[in-house]
Amino acid sequence: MHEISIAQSICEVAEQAVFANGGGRVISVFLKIGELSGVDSEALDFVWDAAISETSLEGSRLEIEKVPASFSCGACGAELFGRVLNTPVCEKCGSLLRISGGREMEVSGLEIDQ
Amino acid sequence: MSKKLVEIKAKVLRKNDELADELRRKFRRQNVFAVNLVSSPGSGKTAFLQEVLRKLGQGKARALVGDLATENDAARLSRSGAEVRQITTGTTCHLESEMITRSIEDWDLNEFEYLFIENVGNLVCPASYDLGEALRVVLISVTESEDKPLKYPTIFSAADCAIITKTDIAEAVGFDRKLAHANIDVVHPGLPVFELSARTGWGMDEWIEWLEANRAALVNHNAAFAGNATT
Repeated sequence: MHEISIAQSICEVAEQAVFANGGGRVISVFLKIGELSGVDSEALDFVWDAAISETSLEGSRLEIEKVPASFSCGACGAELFGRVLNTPVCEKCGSLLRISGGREMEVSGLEIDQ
Repeated sequence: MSKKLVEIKAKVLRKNDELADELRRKFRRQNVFAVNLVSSPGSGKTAFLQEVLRKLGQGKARALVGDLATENDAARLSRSGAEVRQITTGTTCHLESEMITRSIEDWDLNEFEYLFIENVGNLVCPASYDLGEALRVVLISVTESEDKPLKYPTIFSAADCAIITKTDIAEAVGFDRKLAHANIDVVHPGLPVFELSARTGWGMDEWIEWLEANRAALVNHNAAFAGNATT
């Protein structure tokens, strides 16, 4: 349960970005959370209000976009999406797959009232 | 007042990652090989590390050990003769790179070759935090269920090596080693897996040999890189 730490880090990143963009009040924080990032979106959403109280982000909304795990085949180049973690073998050629997406934990944007 | 959409694309853990990269560069420059040990509580990280420190011999390795509270593990590990520092995190369930930076601030990196970081016992959160390590090792004991890798795929997929501990009691607890290996292979194909018992010492030498080979490779790589840079 490290979502409080994560929320605080999001807060820092957002505050810096607000400053760099001429200030203002943050309405929404847009976030990309990968399925393999180890972060629980629901838990993050749950702690958000508490984590940002008494910061410049107080009252802002968290908009989470979940990114599914994706895998690519080193041998034939096939791309596969979704929960194939339990069978990480390429459907087309049988080679082992590499994780190519789903580890994201990124602030993608902000909506600011200026 | 007007609403404005700003695109930023910034990693949430940017600060942690930057500090971790800084640590990694520092370790590389001084040929210190940093190892991050992660596992659930009670899987035998401390007993394993105690044995590793003892086998590596005095002065060669130092350790940082993370727990929510108490200095017990540091006291236990100090018995190996190595210098050990406890990081008590309070309520935080993982170590962050800033804690490592702060803890080793006054250490001269030329004085030792290995830095072991025993993370807080937790199979979820430590996966997200880079500590500047060269090697991330995930441990699982024979008393845990064989499907742990399937339940916590993130930490296994981000590891460089897996160790199955407490093999001396494997038979008594009905541990299915074949199944455990198969499950690790499912979430991280090709991951090196070691089996050992810190209590009897069985399998320890093999892992230490592997560790030393990894450090040697890094040192050689650094030397070659330094050579290229000057010519």
